[in-house]
Amino acid sequence: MTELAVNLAGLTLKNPVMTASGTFGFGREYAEFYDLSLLGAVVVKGTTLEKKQGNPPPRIAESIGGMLNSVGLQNPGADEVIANELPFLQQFATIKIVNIAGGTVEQYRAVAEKITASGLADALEVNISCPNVKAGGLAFGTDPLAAAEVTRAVRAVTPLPIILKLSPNVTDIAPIAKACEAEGADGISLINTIAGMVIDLDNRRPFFANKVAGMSGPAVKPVALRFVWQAARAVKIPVIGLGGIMTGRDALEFMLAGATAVQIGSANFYDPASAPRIVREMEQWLEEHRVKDVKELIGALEE
Amino acid sequence: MISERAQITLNRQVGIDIWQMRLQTPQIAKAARAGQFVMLQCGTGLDPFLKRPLGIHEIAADFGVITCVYRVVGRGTGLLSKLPVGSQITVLGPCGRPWPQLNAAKAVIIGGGMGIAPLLPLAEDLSARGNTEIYLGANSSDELFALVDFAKCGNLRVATLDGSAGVKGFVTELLPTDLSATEIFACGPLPMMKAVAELAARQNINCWLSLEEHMGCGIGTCMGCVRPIKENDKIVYKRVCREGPVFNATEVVFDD
Ligand SMILES: Cc1cc2nc3c(=O)[nH]c(=O)nc-3n(C[C@H](O)[C@H](O)[C@H](O)COP(=O)(O)OP(=O)(O)OC[C@H]3O[C@@H](n4cnc5c(N)ncnc54)[C@H](O)[C@@H]3O)c2cc1C
Ligand SMILES: Cc1cc2nc3c(=O)[nH]c(=O)nc-3n(C[C@H](O)[C@H](O)[C@H](O)COP(=O)(O)O)c2cc1C
Repeated sequence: MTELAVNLAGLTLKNPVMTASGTFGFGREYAEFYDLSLLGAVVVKGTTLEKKQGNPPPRIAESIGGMLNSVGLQNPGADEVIANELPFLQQFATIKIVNIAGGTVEQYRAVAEKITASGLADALEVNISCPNVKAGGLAFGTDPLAAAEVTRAVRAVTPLPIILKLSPNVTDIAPIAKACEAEGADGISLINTIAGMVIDLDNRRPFFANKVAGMSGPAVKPVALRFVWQAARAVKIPVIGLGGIMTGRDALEFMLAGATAVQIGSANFYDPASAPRIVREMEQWLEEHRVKDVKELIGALEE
Repeated sequence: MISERAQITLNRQVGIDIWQMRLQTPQIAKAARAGQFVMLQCGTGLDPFLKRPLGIHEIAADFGVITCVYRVVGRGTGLLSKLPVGSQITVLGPCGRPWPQLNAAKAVIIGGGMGIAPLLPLAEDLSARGNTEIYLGANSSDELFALVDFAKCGNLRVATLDGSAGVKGFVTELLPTDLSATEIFACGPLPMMKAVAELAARQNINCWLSLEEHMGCGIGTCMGCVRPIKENDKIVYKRVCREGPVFNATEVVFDD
């Protein structure tokens, strides 16, 4: 028997595979394809304090080996999520992580408080890749001071483990990761989508109303691996790796780079049963290579 | 919702840039209802990454097959047209909400361009009741398909812009002036559906439209394929893949 369980910020995941926020809704649709209890954890759609309309369509474009999205965090708001979405997940024996977002520090604090009080989340993932309304649209996650401020605010109102989700749209990830760690983050996850653009040549216009959108999918994997590797060397708290993971081999590469766990994002669109398949593929590789415990691979890159 | 590996049993050109594909999808064929669509993988590997939404044109549950008719417009549909019979692709479906039950004395079916495709299963369902009026339009006769199948289901009239088949002009010009006691089911280009929606509103009759939008997952999780939809005097974004593709004409916002 290969040991697949990992420890993450005081939580035990039965395996290192979780879903990535925004690619999994609140779990209902994927529950039609497989038993969500097969997963180490599920991370639900980014939830904000108030209901959010999101961006005008079109919101999705394809790129070679990947995609771009400009959803703009459309979600029904924390109260609705607590009342109508999170209860559904309680029937599954998996860790439930609620991804939260806000445009101001106060909004992050308030949504963290609400989700914590609901008792329906095992941990919070704090998305600091969204634009900071007060700082003129610059993402909290692109500035160590702003990242620290959000971490401190959320830490102050919740006893739940908090995972800060970092943006790859920065020159150096280390100071941001360290700032989150210093303010009490229990883990970090990366990468969120990479800022990209699509141009509609025939109409001479940007394809997206927002002009800039977020790129994801297998094409971003090398970039994501580099970020995870750099972040893991910068902090002692666990790192969750994601970005372009399609197979068990991809997932294990992220673990070698220093990830304790991984998230499956756009792959869910390619194959709705990606996440449990990746668990099986990881187990198979470990067996074939006589690795008894997946934890042996975490950060075990031979450099 | 089902994800099935499907064998392609037919993939042939049926008009200029228009292709017909038959797929062996026993589970999806069994579950599919008129008006629903499938998400089709257009290659054999990771590229193209996203599946393409196509309306279900024929449902043959007894034989475990469905048919799609598609226009080659870009990379995905171009690759799809090159897949040989016998190859396998992943098909996700049946997606979206079907056409609602007829709730009037008579059904009026209006299709334009590729919007003709998802109307055939509806016409077939309604044919048993008789009394169905079917109006189909296209740029030219070589873009029309399934005319014989539609003619079996009701009273068929055709319009083409170049006059190469049926009446010369827009399909909406074929419609009778009095539509009372009918219910409209339409799919086609937005300007056509806008004209149909206005006509239905003027005569105060119920009208259903099937919409399109760029899609990520096709199953409701990514929030990618939304359209602005009226709900209690407010405009909200609803998912074409989950709340749609069929919407009531009074809810649809045309100028975004
Ligand atoms: C519910 C639904 C049912 C449809 N049914 C049919 C049908 O029966 N027959 C048919 O010919 N076409 C149908 N379409 C349109 C069809 O999905 C597009 O023509 C097709 O996706 C184009 O792909 P491409 O790669 O060839 O084009 P490209 O322009 O290269 O595609 C790039 C990306 O944009 C998306 N895209 C481009 N145009 C559209 C569009 N009009 N709607 C949605 N996504 C688009 C593609 O899926 C792809 O992700 C339907 C669309 C929807 C939403
Ligand atoms: C359609 C879509 C919606 C997303 N929504 C969110 C979100 O609400 N919150 C968040 O933190 N990340 C969101 N993401 C980012 C993903 O969680 C993930 O970080 C990114 O897609 C990279 O992983 P991947 O390449 O495996 O998809 C979204 C991604 C996609 C494609």
